[in-house]
Amino acid sequence: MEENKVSENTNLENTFDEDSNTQELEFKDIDYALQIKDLYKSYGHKEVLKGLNLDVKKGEVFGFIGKNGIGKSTTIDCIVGLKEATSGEILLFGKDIKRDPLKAKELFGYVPSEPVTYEMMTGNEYLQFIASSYNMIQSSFNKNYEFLVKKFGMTPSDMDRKIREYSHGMKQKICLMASLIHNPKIWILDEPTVGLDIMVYEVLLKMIKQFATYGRTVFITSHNIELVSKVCDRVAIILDGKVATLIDFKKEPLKRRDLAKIFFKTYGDID
Amino acid sequence: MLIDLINKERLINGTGKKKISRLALNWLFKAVFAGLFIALECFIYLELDKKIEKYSSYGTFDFLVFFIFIMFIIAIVSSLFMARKALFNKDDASIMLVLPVSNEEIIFSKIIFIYARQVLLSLIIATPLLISYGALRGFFPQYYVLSIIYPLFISILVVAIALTLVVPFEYLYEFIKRHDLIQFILACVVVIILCFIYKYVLELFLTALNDSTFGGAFSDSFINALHNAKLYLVPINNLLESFVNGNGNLSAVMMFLGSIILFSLIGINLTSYFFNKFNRVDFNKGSKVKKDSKKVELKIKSSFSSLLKKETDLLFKDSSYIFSYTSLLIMMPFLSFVVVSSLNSIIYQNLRIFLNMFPELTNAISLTLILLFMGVINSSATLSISREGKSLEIIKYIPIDPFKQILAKLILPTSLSSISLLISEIVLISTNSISISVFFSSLVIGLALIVASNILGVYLDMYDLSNKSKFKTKYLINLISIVYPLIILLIMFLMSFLGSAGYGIYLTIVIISLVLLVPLLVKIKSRICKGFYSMEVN
Repeated sequence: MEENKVSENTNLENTFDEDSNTQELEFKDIDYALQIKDLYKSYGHKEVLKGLNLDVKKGEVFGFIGKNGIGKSTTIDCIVGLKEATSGEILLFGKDIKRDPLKAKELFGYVPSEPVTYEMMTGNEYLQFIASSYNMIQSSFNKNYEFLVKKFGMTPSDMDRKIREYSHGMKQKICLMASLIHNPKIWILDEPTVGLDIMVYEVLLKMIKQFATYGRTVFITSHNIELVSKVCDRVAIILDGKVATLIDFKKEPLKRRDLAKIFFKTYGDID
Repeated sequence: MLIDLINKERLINGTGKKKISRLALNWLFKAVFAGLFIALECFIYLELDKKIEKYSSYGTFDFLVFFIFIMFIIAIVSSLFMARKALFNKDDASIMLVLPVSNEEIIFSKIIFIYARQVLLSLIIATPLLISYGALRGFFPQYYVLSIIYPLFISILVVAIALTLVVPFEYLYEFIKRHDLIQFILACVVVIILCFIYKYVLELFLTALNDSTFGGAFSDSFINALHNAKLYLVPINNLLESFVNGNGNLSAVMMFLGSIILFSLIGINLTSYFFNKFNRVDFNKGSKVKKDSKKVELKIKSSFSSLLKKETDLLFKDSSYIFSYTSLLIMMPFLSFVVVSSLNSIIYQNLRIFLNMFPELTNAISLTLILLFMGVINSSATLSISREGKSLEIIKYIPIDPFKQILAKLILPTSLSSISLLISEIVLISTNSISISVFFSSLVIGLALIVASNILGVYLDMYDLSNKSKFKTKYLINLISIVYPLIILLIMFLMSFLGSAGYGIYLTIVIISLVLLVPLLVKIKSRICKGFYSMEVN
């Protein structure tokens, strides 16, 4: 079996360091970090996604919002390979998740809505497991590990404890750290702020912004309209299995503060 | 409100509302099982009673007291587990403690639920024994009425004792849950104790079956010891003395009522005091903070060795697998030796006549038992995808080849089960418990069974996760682990009965087992990869 070494641009500190001025050179010919084409997904007779189309540009923070049970998590599940789409195409930096799943999976870091880890492992063991799964180089892992532990305020004793002994917030932190340990090209976050304290919430907000500064991409779903309006460059609102509204805050900056109104209007609940 | 709370207990303990057809089927199954259990229990008891009667007239009553006392202890243990589950259920408490319902009402509803279950259990276990004892001696009708209402009274004491013990038990449970090594040692000790109990029950069963008088567990000294120990089997001895023989009615009733009042007072007070405390405390938080954690160097491994380590953690650090698989694997050589050697002696002592008809009878039974033990123990580790639980989504999104992931899942249980089988076979052959032909054939068939059931477990797991049907095919693996050894036994019986030569029989069953393995191996890689990607994670 050929090992796919993720050896280029794996230093996470550079990604978040405004002074290092690292530019993304990989995939320079590709404009889109994520492309979803005509995506359908059904559960039995219930059709949740009905021809969803979405293009997420490289280097942007993209928000994907909608009411409960409307298909946000189903879309993310299809993107990261947890669920198989009924039909349609999902491309991550041009790699098809269905045809070339391993290459596509190497490119993203995923944070599930509920923290999912191996709870019998310690924080250290879990990060080690995830890093080994991505075939990381030892030196890159060491640097990224140091960076993340510091960034998320975890102590060596926290990292040496079993995850099942963690609080919900700490579990969420370890999921965030695991999703970034290999310095992904695209960071996919499904409701990432649930259970986080205000300090970590602020750190996360800053990290999301910084992550996209030098060509990396963030795809985020959240009920937290404030978070989405603060950090996202573009936002899509999903309705009836398709994108109903697409807002570009760079073109229409005033819509940032009206996002909640637009959200309610999309669902016909303006009052 | 109290009725609603009791109903809620019924719902969360799995006896809630179901479709009428499912409910009827469920009750039918339970009734058949209870009927079979009562029949077997009464048969063994009556057979033993008859034997003891021949030996000593007072021995039968001593034996009844002993039997009912054992049931009393079992009832306390089962109530203790039931009480812990009901009273210290954090999910339930997180809902209930914020509702405007008093703690007393919550606790009382749980106690009533435990009591009701205990009465039902006692009606199935103790009442038939008391009725059998009376029927054999032609007691008056009021005796049978007392036998039927006996569960109503004894269950009060059982629940009261369980409530007294449940707080220290909860402390112990949480302590053990946090220590993997202690869990493992405890699991081994439990298995050893169960082996001895199994051996003892087997001997009891044999004594019941055997036409000759006493033997095995029932020696003269045992009956005498039972007679002397009976006095200490309180309160059952006093209660039955009054109830069956009419001796010391007042003192027995006073002692019984006194015990109920004492244990109820302690139990209810302790439970009420700790109910709030335990349900608001997270035992895990801050329990093992290592103050002097030094910076450790974390080495990146190859993806395959990290997968193997993860599988080892899943098997050795999960309490359910420690009890159902790992400790049983370690005890398998001991378990198979105890049972195979006991059965060999049973056959020689009681069923020698059948050896003329089926010359391979002993060998066939030994081989079947080895396969049965191995199959059943291994089956608890075959569902390697279900073993992931919630973390299944991690294996779906990490960029590691599915075949490599599944291979890591198959290697560990297959190797562990194979080593355990090999050691068991060596123990059995070196103690002359099995013949050389049984050794080789059971080894080959056992290995084929381990490999086949582990691969099949993966296929069935994937099928269930891809198809989302209500019927879980993965549980078929447990059935196959039991049925396949029995099919082998049937083939051996038939061939032996038809006069086939010994080596021909062994060769046939080995070839059949290896041939059956082949379809599972065909296109294994592509089948695994296809199944892996079509699995859906919720």
